[in-house]
Amino acid sequence: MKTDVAINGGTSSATNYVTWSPSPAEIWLSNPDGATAPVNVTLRNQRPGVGGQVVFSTDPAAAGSDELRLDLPPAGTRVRFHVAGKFPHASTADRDAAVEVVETATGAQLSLTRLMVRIRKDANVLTPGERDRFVSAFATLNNAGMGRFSIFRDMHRGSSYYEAHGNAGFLSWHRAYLLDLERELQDIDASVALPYWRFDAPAPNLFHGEFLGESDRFGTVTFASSNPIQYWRTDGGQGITRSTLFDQRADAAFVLSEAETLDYGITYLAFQQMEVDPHGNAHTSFSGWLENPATSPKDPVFFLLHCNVDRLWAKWQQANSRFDQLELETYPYQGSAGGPGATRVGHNRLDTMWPWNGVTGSGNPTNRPPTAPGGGLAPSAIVQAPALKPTVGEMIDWQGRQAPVSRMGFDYDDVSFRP
Amino acid sequence: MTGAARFDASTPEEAIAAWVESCPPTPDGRAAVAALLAEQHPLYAGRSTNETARIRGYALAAFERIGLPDQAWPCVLNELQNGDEAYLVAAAAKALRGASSPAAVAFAAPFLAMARDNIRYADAPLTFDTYTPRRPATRGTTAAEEIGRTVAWLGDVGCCDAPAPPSSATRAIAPAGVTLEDQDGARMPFGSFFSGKPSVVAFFYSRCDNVRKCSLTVTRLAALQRALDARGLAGRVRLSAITYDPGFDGPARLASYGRERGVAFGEDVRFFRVPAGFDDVRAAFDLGVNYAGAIVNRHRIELYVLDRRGRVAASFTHLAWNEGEVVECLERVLRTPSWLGAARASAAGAASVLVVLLPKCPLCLGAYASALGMAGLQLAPYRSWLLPAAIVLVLAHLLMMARRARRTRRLLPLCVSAAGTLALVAGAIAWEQPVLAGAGAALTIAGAVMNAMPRLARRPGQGFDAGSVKPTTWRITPSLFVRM
Amino acid sequence: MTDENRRSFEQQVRASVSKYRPRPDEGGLESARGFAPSADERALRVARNKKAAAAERVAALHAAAPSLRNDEAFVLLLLELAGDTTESPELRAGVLRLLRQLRFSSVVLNENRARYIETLRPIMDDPDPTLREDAIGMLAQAKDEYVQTRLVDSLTSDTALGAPLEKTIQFLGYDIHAAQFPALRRMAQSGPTAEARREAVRLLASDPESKDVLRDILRDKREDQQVRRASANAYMALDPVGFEQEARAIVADEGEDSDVRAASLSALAHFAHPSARDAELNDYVDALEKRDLPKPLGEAVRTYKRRRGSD
Repeated sequence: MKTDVAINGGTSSATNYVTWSPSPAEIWLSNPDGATAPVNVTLRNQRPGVGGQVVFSTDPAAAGSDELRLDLPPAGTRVRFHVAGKFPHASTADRDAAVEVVETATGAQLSLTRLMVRIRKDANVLTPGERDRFVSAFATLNNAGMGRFSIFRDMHRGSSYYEAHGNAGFLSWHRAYLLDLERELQDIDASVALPYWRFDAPAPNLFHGEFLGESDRFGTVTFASSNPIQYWRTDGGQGITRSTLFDQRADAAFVLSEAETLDYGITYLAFQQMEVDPHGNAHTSFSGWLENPATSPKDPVFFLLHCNVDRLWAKWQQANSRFDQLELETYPYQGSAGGPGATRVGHNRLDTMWPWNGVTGSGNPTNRPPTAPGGGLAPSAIVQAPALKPTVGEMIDWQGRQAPVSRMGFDYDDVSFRP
Repeated sequence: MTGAARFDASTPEEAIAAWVESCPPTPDGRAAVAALLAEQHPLYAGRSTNETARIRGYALAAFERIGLPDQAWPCVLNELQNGDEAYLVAAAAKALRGASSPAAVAFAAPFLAMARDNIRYADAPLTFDTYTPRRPATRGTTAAEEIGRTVAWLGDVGCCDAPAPPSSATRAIAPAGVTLEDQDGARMPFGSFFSGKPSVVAFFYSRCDNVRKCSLTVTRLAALQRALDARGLAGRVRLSAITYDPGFDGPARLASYGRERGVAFGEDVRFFRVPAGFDDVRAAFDLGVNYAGAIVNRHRIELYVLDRRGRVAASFTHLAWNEGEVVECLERVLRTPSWLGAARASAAGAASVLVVLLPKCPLCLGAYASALGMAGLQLAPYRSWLLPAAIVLVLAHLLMMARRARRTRRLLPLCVSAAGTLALVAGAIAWEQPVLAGAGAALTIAGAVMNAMPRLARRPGQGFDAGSVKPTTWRITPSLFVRM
Repeated sequence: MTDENRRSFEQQVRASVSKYRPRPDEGGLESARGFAPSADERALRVARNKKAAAAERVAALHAAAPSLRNDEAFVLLLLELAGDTTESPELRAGVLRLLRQLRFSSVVLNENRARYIETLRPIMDDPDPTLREDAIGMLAQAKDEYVQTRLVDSLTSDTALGAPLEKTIQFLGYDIHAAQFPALRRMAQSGPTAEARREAVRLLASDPESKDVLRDILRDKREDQQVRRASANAYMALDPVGFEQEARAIVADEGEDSDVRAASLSALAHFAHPSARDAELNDYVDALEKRDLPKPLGEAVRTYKRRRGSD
């Protein structure tokens, strides 16, 4: 007797990635072995307490449990359920979690489906394996200046600056930007999730030759000789220019604390001030590329910095239940550009975001930039959201709390699905 | 007025600036300063980007004092439409105020609005009071201020027609022995891609940091590809771009740059570099580009439409083009049968030769009579009125050649024909020396043939040559000119 | 002002910012505009008070920045303080950092770029080295032609610029169109320090005419390993095929520096065409793995084998 399990609509390893948000799944008897009555099966973690852990449920709105019992029709009819990562037990390696299906009556194993609870983590606490896989994927994306990383660099130049900054859409735009980059990394190595730099705490393991490099006294970043990031190249130039105004080994950046940031206020209009502090202060705690808007994405640390900015937004959303894009407190500029009460194009809830929308303009400050490199947002094997030309509002419900179909396939190690 | 042609890469920039300051407000003075604006002028070779921008900006700003000539339009409007350097944008705004009246340049108002937007976050403190200001000087002006002054000077004038700039069509001849390498690393002779079908060739380089130039050019090339597909023209025309920076833009970079901007490569859509001999391509197209070492220090926007024989049918330079205009041009080229294009090109030259061969003197007539007599034909006897008529024809022929020489700035054919005419008249009429008359006829014919032939090779900076391609005319669209 | 002074100053600023943030009872946190104007006014009073401690004044400015970032008077105040030579270097450095911060989020500051440039240019020659270097860096990032001229002059003539040579070269890297490659080639070959040579090599990655110089530096076993590794990167950019051959030779050379060998193997593992990872190289790496290797080389071998498995 044998069962098959499909997670996220597929049976291949490409779809076997979950986050804290429930992922749709199906199970069926692929070999009933003569059974004529429904077979009761138990779904559980193969190795409790080892590797990533998952929980199961039949209702995505209900809390999951460590085990789930289901009756499977002998005809092979598919039975739906949901599987999610068990907070805070994320995986540390690809497919280190496994859903074991056993016949409840006999305990016989009917199938084993390996998967990964793939979560964005604090960069300072990654395992060496996680760190090396991330660094390798990132270096491959850069491909010594010839890779698709150049698109991400081109999205964040002076000419397109106000598509993403200085207005309310700052957080949505960067959430899409990071998600796009992360999915490109996952095309290279599906086990990779973008880590975050928790800038209000020391991160000596991040600013290290085996990770994203250590600055010498002149602000050139040095790497261990086996680290492929040493071949990082952008704009035709080589290496990374960065030094910290704080002690990389012992200090945090000169930023508001997480608590102070979350305390900006309960509405989005108040919270968006975090673009100045801690976001702006995190950038200017460095000298070199990171301190300058037009050159900041040349440094890979930029993406970990912004991952933390996004994580702070996610935490704020969870603390204040801000997932409904239709609420003014969640996003103040409803409607689209040109409408009553609208703000700059690209920052209203219904506006699609450049460059993924492919819309170009004359490049004047109230219009779109003259070019839109890179095409639409990278698709995902495990989710269908957001649209590949996402709107500002679509980026808000990353966990699918308003509608499960809205989940985007990422989560943070300290932001659960249920508060 | 000594022209800018005497300047070269070794001329100190201060000397060039002093010369600009000394140029008088006369047509010759204006033309001389305008000649400095050609991106391919030899004086820019080897100069840094900053030095190149300073010289060009100072020249542009000088038009406010000496008057704005027609030849300067493309550069002035380009800086306003596409420029991102405050010094050059400010200089272009100042240049407009050198026009004869605000009404004469009212059409430039939309360009000033574009410039204001372009420079909003890129302005800088500037001065044009002197070429080498005392540093760090307090502000003299800014680009925004100069744009504002010009807008105020324009006032509330209605629009008007732009002046017709001089014809500036170039003729591309397949540079002999040049090999192209495409984005997949495949190599082919230059002529093999650019003949057989009409084609489009744009020039760019991946390290261009003005997004309104190369990045936009390639993005629009992708849009052009889609427009051609939509009109069912895919496969009937070829699209290409060639990098100014062959040492850096290898195949992988060409492929990456194009794909990121939406280009779908294929048999008829390729990006190229010229691994060796790019100077021949530069010369053949008279490209508006210059270098400091291997780095481009300045270039213009340029796209060329070539006919089936690889000859330039239209050029779009300096200003942004849009896909619709290029498609229209391609459709026109597609409608022109290849034999007609060749016939047109030959007709102009044939006309000159025909005039020369008409009998203009008793000797010529006698020669024809003898030749035709051998063929069994008889001619009417010589009439005395034929001599003055022949002289008139010869003079008319010389006048036509003189007008063409003025336009194309090629004097040698005219000189040869004039010398031949003198010899012909002296030998046939004054001294009755048949040998001298024969030599004169031969020289006259030679001058006419030279006049009909295109320039075979050209070095950058030697100016434009209309060749045998029909002259450029301009048509104003709301935001740019189109050269047809 | 030393780096340690600056760090200590910024930590004092950070510790004081919360004093000037709006209090909960000031009720401004929910409004769309004019967040707690009373808090902003309080902060600005402190910021303008020349008798207050510099750290307090800068902290007050930080506290007001989120709500006043697009207030022209606030932006002009920052520019005025940064350029005021009667103020302390600590205060001016703190204000310069705040200006850099507002580049990310202030439309008004970016619209006042001309004034911003005007303010920074004289600071390039300030007596304080930290202020000088900050100003030069900010102007280089803005691609200001005046600072580019000064940077090039300091490389090509004896005109001194108030920043270390290594930083001067690095600042030129913000705009490849400003670089003077002949001077940089000379610097790469004979610069006074390894860091200066390395910085020059970094910029030469943009210059096709420097290919041979970079290859020769990569081959030079007498050169510092960090310079050679930078050359590897730069040479690979300009001649990927040539680099593969050099890298293979280096990996196979038992007498080579182990860091340079590790870097070469890492490049072959990640960036070379798959055909470069041929049987000969694979066999050699397999044999290497069995030996006792320095850590970086061992890591490079393991990475190579892992990447080879995905070819």
